[in-house]
Amino acid sequence: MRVTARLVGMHAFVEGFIGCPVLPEPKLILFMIDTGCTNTTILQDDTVRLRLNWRDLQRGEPVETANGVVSSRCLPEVQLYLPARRGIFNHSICWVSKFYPAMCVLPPESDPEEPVPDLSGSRSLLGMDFLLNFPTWHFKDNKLYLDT
Amino acid sequence: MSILLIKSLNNKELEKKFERYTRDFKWIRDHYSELIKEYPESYVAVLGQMVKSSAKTMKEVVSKIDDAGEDPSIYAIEFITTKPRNLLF
Repeated sequence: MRVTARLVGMHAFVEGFIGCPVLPEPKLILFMIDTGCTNTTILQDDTVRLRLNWRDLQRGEPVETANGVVSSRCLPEVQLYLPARRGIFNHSICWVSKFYPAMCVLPPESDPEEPVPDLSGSRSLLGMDFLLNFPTWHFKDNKLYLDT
Repeated sequence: MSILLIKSLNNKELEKKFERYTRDFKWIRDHYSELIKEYPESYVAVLGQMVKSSAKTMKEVVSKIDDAGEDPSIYAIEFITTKPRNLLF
C-alpha cells in the first residue's frame, strides 16, 4: 500500500481528513510529514480553522517542542483518513485509516496561562505513530512515496 | 505499531470536497509567486481555485469566512510568505 505526499521545498505534505464525535462532520486537513514528531498533532492554525473549542477539550500530557513544553488538549476518538493506493502497481485507489483514542491538539494562540511558541503558518503534523506503518520511502518527481 | 485499516468511503460528497481541497492547495503552489505580490505575509483562503478571503491572521480569515456563512474547514488556507521557513519541531 502506498501513500503519496508532495514535496514543497524541504517539506512533504499530504491531505486527508479526520472524523471525531465532537466534529459535526469529517474535516479536511493538510498534514506535514514529521519524523521528529512522536504523535500526530493538530497545530494551532488548524485548531482555529476547524473551530475547535480548545478549552473544552480534555487535558492531555504536556508536549515537548523545540521551543519548550506546551500544554495540550485531546480530541477524542479520532479516525484519520489519508488517500492511498494498493494492489499490483499500486493501481487501486483506497483510503488508509487509523483510529486515535485521543489526538493531541495545540492551543489556538499564545496565552499567558497556556504559553505556546508562535507556530502560525505551520501545518498539523503527521507523526511517527502513523509513519511507522510505512517503512519504505522514496523520493521522485517532487513526490514522496511511503510504502508499507 | 498500530493496525491501519483500508476503507472505501462510500461518501461521494466528501470525496468531492477532498478532491477540490487537494486541487486548491495545488493551485496555491502553482500561483505562489503571484500570491506573494498581492498577499505578502498573509493568510489566503482559496476555494474552487479562487482567493475568497485574506487576512493577517488565521483567526481573522476564519472570521471572514464565518461571516459569509461558509464553513472554513472546506477552504485551502495557506500562509503566504516571502521568507523561507526552516522548521524545527
